[in-house]
Amino acid sequence: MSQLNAVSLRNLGVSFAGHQVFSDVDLDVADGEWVNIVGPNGAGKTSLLRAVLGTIEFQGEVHVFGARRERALEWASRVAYVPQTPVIPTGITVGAYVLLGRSAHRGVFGKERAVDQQVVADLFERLKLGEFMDRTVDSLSGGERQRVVLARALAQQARVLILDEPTTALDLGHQQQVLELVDALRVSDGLTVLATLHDLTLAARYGDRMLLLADGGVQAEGPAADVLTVTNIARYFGADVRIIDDEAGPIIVPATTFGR
Amino acid sequence: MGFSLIAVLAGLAFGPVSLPILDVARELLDMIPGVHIESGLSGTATAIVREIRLPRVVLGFLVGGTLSVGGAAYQGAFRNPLADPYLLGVAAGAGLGATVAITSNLGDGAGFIDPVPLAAFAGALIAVVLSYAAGSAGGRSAASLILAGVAVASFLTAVQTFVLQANSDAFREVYSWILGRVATSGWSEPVLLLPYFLLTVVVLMRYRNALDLLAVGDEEAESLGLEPRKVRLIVVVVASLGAAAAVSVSGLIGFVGIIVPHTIRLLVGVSYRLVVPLSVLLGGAFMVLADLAARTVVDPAELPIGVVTAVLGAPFFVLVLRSSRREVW
Repeated sequence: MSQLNAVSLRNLGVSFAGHQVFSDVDLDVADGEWVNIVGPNGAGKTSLLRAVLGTIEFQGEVHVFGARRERALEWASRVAYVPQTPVIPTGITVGAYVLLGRSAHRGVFGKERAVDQQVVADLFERLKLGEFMDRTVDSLSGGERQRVVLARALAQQARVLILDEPTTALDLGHQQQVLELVDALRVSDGLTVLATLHDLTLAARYGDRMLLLADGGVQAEGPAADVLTVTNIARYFGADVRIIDDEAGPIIVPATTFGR
Repeated sequence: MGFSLIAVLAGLAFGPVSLPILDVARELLDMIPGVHIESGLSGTATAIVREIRLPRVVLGFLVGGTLSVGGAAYQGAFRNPLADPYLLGVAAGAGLGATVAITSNLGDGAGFIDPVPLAAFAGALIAVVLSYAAGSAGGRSAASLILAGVAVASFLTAVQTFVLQANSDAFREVYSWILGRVATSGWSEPVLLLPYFLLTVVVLMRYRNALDLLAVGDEEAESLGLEPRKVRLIVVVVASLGAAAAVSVSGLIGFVGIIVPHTIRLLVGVSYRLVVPLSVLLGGAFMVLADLAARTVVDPAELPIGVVTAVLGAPFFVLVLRSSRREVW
């Protein structure tokens, strides 16, 4: 008996106003795996994530643990989402914001239950957010805010976590912190992670596999070292790079003639 | 809650004839089935409280509550602090409907039904339907709906101005309708409005979590389990229906739908769990007090209530705005 894939995409395509962004994307993400989508701007990385979330129209099929999306509420308990630039309502407290993630379980119209409070309290402890509980989200720094957004997604208690550029606008230390945290949660909670990351070196370090989305389809897929080649990067990113081999994954640096 | 109760008692006790507030409270308790308390009010005073002031206070409360909670809902549904229940043309449509009814003298000889509120109600609903039809055709974003509402409202207001110009003898009557009043003739107006008030309050109470979710934008709200377009449609239709019913009996009372919810946000925070119920209570109380001022300040004449809500409400709101340390939008 074969294991059900956490995420399974078949012939996935997305078009906007008659323009086909990409088509025929096939991808299987195993339970507990971390897969990164990389590609140049405009290749449709975010659209691919949105298709999995079901928030845009798409062609083809999306399955999460064998099921198709029918209702938003039921899907929210299967797939949790950390957007690239979350909309933070002015004045909302951290506690209230994280509780929003519980609507997937208590229902949009449901009353808040003790279990919802408990889940949030546990998350605050694990993500070391306790001191922020009554602060407003808009008063937090970028790194703190990203942890709060992650906490909201985790409050959904979905087994698939979708991250759209989770490290944008974070400094190096906070980038590392957030990605390490995601990985620790993946291991401890058995989460499956599907992410977009524009920093190729980071994408190579965090994640089991990657998928290169460019020119309307999948151009390469597999371990970072196979996907991130000088040829691929030149061809699809238009970038002239050097690749340094490191045991944790290839390091991508721009080749430059600066100062010479 | 306490504030609302005080406002209601004040609305009942004060007027051309001032009555002892405790006696009025006892009289109110006496009206509860199964409770018998001697209020100490004279027969005339009892009649004033029960038959003249109480219907008026109740109507004021219903109008204020409906418009305020409708405003809160509109602001949430459109994620726009300037949204009020008139955003999709309710006021313009009601204004046109009332103007047409008044200028064409529909009221003369129509008998027992006053056609003005009916025409205003119909006009308001037609305006919302037009706005929704126009705004949801292109893109269906909340912004396009607002733009459609602005277009429909401008158009209807222009038609209303044209009709009024052609019937300048009705100018005074139309103008006084527009400025609003909560005058009652017995219980017919409050009874007419009650079902719409209840519908609006019950539905919006049920949707207050949904409004909190909408605050993070359609995409994120959907990823959290909400159907944003459906929710917006229901919330807006219900709030518009309530607002249409309110303005059709009371005229175009502006401002409450904006300042009451924002005052609440400034005082207790942005969550709709509190903003929705408190808007009903405070909005109702505010309108009762505004009406009290409207009928006592220039006694025996009456001020238009729309003037009072703005004259009382604006300075109060500025005060709250300046003293609150919360950022709410």
